[in-house]
Amino acid sequence: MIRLEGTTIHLEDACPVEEAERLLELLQSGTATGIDLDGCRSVHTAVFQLLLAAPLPIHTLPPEPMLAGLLAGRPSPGPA
Amino acid sequence: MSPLLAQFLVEAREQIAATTDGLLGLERDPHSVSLLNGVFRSVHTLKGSSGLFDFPALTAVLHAGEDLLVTLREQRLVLDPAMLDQILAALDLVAEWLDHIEDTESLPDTAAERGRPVIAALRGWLSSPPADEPAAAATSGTADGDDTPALPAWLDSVPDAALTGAAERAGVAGVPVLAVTYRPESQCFFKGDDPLALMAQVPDRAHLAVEPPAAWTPLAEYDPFSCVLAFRVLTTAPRKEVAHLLRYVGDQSEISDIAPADLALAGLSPVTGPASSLAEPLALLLERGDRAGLAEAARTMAGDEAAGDTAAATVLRRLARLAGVEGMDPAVLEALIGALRGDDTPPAETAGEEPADLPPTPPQPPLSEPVLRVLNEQCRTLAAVRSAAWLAGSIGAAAKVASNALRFSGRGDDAERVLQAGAAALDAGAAKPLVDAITAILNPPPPAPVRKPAPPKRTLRKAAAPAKAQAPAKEQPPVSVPQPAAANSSAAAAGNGGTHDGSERPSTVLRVDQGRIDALMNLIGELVVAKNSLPFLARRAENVYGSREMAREIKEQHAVIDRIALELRNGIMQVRMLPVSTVFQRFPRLVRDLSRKLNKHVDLVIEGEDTQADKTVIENLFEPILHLVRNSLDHGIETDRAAAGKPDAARLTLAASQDNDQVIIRITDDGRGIDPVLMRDKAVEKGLMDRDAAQRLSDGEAMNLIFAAGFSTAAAVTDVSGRGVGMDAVRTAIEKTGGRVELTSIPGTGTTVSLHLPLSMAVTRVMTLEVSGRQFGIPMDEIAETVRIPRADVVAIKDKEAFLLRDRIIPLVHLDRVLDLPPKTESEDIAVLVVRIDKQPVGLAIEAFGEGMEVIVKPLDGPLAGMPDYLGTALLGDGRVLLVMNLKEIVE
Repeated sequence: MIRLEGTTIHLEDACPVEEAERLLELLQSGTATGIDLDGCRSVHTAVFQLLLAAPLPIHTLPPEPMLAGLLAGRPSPGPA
Repeated sequence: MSPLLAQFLVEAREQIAATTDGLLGLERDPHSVSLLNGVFRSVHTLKGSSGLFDFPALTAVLHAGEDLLVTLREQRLVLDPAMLDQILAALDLVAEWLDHIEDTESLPDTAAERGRPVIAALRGWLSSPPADEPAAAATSGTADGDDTPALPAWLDSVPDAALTGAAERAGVAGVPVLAVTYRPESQCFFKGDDPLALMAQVPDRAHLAVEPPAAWTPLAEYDPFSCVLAFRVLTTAPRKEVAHLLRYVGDQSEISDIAPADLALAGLSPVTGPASSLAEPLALLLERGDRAGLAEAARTMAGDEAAGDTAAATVLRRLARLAGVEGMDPAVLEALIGALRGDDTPPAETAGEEPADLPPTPPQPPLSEPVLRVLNEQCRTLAAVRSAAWLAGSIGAAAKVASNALRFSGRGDDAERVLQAGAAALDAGAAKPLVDAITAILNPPPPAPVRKPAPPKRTLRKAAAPAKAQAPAKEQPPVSVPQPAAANSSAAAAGNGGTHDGSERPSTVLRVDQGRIDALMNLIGELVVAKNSLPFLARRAENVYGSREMAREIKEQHAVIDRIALELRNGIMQVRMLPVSTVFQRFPRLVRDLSRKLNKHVDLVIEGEDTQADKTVIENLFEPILHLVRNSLDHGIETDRAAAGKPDAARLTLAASQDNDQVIIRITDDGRGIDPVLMRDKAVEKGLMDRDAAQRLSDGEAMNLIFAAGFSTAAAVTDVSGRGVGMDAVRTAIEKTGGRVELTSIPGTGTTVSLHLPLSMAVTRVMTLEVSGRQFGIPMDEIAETVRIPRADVVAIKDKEAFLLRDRIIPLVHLDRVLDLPPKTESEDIAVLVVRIDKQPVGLAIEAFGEGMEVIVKPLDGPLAGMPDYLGTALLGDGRVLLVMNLKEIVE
């Protein structure tokens, strides 16, 4: 589940492949300033990949260690 | 049905057809690698896409087929006809299921039951142990043998802790560490793949890293459903387990074995200077077997002596940790001590000798396939520009496209260079500078003149053998590390890009539902009818409104619309045209199966498969040709050909050709031919005619008895043919599409059956005629001639009438009587239309001839559908409906 609260994008529970589109729309709209993965259990590769590409800071890493590890070492966000 | 499933069905049928063709090709040429690869690819794709849906039995059958093909591809098995039979049978089963899926969107309930024996048969060939998973089989080739596998280049970027951890586990267990590189194809999400989830499932994972693309697409153009990541995993799990996990992505992943000793050395910087001297005492401790002492010494040294030397400190820390592990493979420790000793050629010298004025060039990311294609395309476009007026624009566009493509690939310098070359080309007014610049990037000069050649040993490290003094220890400083493999592959790819990209261009073929074409066709029919009303209008303008001028202008406009309508109609007919190969391509398989069943050796020759005809015509061809081919194989071709003095292999020819507005299909065999004497006997025996009538038949007519209903000469009904309906059914089917069948046969030499079919059923040429004041149409191709005969020339034979035309008696049929219309007024002459019905001339007495015209005949439907007397109706230009007669039915 992906939702925008204020200017923060929240990823919650499981985020299947379709949600990549929603996330992209939110990122493209430019209203969001950060991402919160606090309640996120799992993400599909498409969503994960977009998180890597997203030019926004991640406020809270997901509780799942593998995912958190991969996102913590996120290379410098892509396109400016 | 979901569009995805519909698409799957279309593609699956194509893949099955391609596989069947490939398999038959393989039977003729069992050593063709390209055919085998093609077959494998088709089955693999089919299996992959079937996995999107819940058709477990179907996927399982395909999987078994794929596994068998894998072993064939690896030459562990040789294709033999029985194996081919089973693969083909499996495909048949799948094809059958596809039909069922199309009807019900599910597999038949019996699918699992029916699939099981087929799978067992396929797996039976694999019984030689072990039945590897395809992924394992596909990659084991690189791991076995004497060649030391190249280590994945990314190994050096793995964090120290993960490396040491993996080396620790593997060194104790004495098993290699597996390095998995998984590059999912970009469209993998559409196949239901979730690469990240897959990687998370890798058992005993010691390390997982994600490799981002060289450059991210800007968010505005970002495609959320295109996978751009690659994954790297280190695991100590058995290869078999990992390969099983990755079995569906075997072609996108690579699994390499890494000896623990090699792994322990990964990511180390070269040790130089005084720290090297620390190696000796450590080696001594190892030799004595004092592991605890070794670990202690290494730990101390890392803190004291080597404190200022990070490279040495890393080696020592790793050594300290691994030496302290019970049961650690000594080779691992030896390798580490060797690394500390730095007894390999110090790479620092290499780096030092590098000419100072040359800035170290960072390794260029290799160009991807699409980028190479784009670059090649620019060169080609530029080369094709002839007009000076176009040149400037073309140069500007090509330079922009090429530089964007390069920038996307992370090659900013090259992109800049191309832009500059583009500017230079614009100044010079010639494309050459730009073409040269792009070519230079496509074919990079060998790295030698730029940098010192570095020994390629980095990718060829071997597991350190015990007591090997010169264990490779030093890593090249990253900056001087060229990537020979990458450079070569990119050059090779560039070379390939130039030659191969033609075939990889996106297809320009559209798949269109036939209903849409039919709707267009109907609209065009209406347009033709509407257009035909213009001459009527012109006549009215002249006669009713007295404006000749206006009439002339309308006629002019009519001519224009007429031409456009004609082109439109031809265009849409062209769309409906299919090559006869769509029918013919099913026959190699059928002929093979039948000839194996009948134990006859038959060579099938196909000619003219490019000949085109309307889709409806083509689609109605299969059954008739199938009957004819079966007949030829079963009855025509002799069982003992040697006795007849013929070569063992019989020859069956399927030939298509076009003759004016007809397509002619010939089915020719070189078998025993048809014996007219036998045919006469059979005809009498079956009670079709008495002996006198039979004797009066010419040989040709006797042979044509084969088309009579209820006639079969086969002594016994076989599995293949001979049910006594075959040839009759053929004739009926062909005549239904407006064609005719001809047969010629020379006893002892062979038989030819020709099917004459209309090119298109959409438009029919009819002749209009008048009977008792009403207008009817008759298909033009049935009309032989039009004559007027004096009433006195009509002779009565019993209750029938006939007339003499060029010394031939032709029966006369009065259409008004047959159609129960009021009798026409008696006149001196009778207008007679001579038509051919089953090749027999028949005269039709009518009232007046009309004109020839092209109409679109619409079959009768609704309550009128059961009327056999009429082929259908057509709309005339003045809005009247024309009934088109089915002469055969009316006269009989």
